[in-house]
Amino acid sequence: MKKTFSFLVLLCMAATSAHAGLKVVGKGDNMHYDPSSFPPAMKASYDIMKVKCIKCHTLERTVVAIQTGIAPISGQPFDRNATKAYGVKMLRKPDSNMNKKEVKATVELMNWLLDQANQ
Amino acid sequence: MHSQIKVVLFLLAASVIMLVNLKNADAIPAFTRQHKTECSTCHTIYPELNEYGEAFQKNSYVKKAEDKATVSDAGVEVSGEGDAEKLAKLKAQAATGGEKSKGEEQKAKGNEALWLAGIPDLIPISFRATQNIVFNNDAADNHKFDFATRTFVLNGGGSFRDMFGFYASYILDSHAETEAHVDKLHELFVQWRNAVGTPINIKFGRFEPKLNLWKANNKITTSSLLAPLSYGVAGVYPYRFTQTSSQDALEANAILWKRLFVAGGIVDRDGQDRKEGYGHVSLKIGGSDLHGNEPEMDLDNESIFDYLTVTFGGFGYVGRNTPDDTASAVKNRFYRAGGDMDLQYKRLRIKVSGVHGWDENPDYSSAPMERNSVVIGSEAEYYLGSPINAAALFRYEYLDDGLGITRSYSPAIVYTPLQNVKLSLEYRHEDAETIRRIALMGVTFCF
Repeated sequence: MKKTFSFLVLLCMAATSAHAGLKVVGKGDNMHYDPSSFPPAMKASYDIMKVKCIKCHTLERTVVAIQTGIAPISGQPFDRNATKAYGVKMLRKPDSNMNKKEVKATVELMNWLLDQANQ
Repeated sequence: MHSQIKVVLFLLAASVIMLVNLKNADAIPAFTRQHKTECSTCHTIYPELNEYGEAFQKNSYVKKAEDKATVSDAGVEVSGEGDAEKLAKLKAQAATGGEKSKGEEQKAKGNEALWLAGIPDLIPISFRATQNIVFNNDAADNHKFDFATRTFVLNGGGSFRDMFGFYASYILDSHAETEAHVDKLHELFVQWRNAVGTPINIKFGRFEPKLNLWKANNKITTSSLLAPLSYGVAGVYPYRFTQTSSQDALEANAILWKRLFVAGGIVDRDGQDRKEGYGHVSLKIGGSDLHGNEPEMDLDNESIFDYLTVTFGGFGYVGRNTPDDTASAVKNRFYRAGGDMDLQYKRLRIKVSGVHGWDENPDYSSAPMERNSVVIGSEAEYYLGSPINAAALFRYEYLDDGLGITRSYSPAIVYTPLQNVKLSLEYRHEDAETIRRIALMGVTFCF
């Protein structure tokens, strides 16, 4: 039993370290995530993000918010509450061209990225 | 005449085709520079405000201040690979508490003297220019095509350590200058935010008293604005009263329960020896609250209320006109009472405004004859949005000034190839005793 428990703990630690460290590539305005290590569902969401979000701002803004936990413009905490609030804001922005499904996928992606960045 | 209008339309169409493929770029006026954010954060199509712009304005040009991020100094680690230089900067930033307010940033950077003095780091000024081509079929001097209608305005605004907001607007040049003695200082005011710890803001200086939901420049069109905001009955400039003319005033206003805005003030109007008074109340239903906080929303289910925002407003103003100055014995007491509605649903925005006016002696006659006026204005805007940042507008207005009835119909198209550059084509058809037609093609830009 003890051996099994220890094995499971080690397995969990190994799994965690495999996800830790999001790969950020590019500099300045071209900064973005390398999604090669993302799970398939998050890769699909990232495809939405990289098309829709950059219509109004660079992905650097998103990367900075996720990596620091602080929204770069407002200076407010960028946590799970904030990701939903920003999602709602973008959904209601007349020229965002985002529907609820896309906003939900993007919010879930940002939450996942926050979890990864905090590991 | 028809061929001339065709030329104007052709020029606009050509401009649009040439610019339609340009990419968006950040605009750079004063607030954009200070807060490092793009024009579209606060504007739909410049200078019309969206709900975040309204919140920013109502909060004395201070962005949402609550819940500032705090990151503990110990153990902060930002993960990631790639741009090592940038991430190193992010780590340092996170370790010192992340992005700071302007005041804190100044202090942290060693500009403590500026911070203590409350002086903004950047000189908070910007410029706005408008250049129009006006076609007026009934021009008095037969100058039907006028290329010289322009304004060039200096704007300044910001806040002092989040305690005082300030705003200034100075008309550097205007085509109307020689004709109407334009009051160059359009606005100059300071607002004490949350005076002595209360929700009340105290505003003092020269500004547009808070009557309607929208200030005069809060619109997507270049020249015209809703008739109730601009109509006047008695007197000539600068003694003529309009709901959006700037006045020397003292105002108290407050946001209550996040969605109710109240304002009241006294006015020392040009040429008057008595003070005038006004009051305003407005309620916002749906959308973000008046501090700019987002509404709760279920992302799994669709609801019409997710996109619907309605603001209702009402106001009253009591004042007095004299024909020229305070020495005149002839006077015209008057009042205005009205209401507004601003409805937004996705890309559609509808504004409705109505006012009833009463003037005791608008003709300054020895045999006074009262006059009642009723003015209603309505407009519908539809934003096309990305990738073509344009909007179409149609406005209908009804003006009964007690002497006659004028109905006007105004379609307009505006296009912003960049967030700080706007092209507009406006047409106005006035149906009164005689029919007047005015077309305007304009470009507005700010920097």
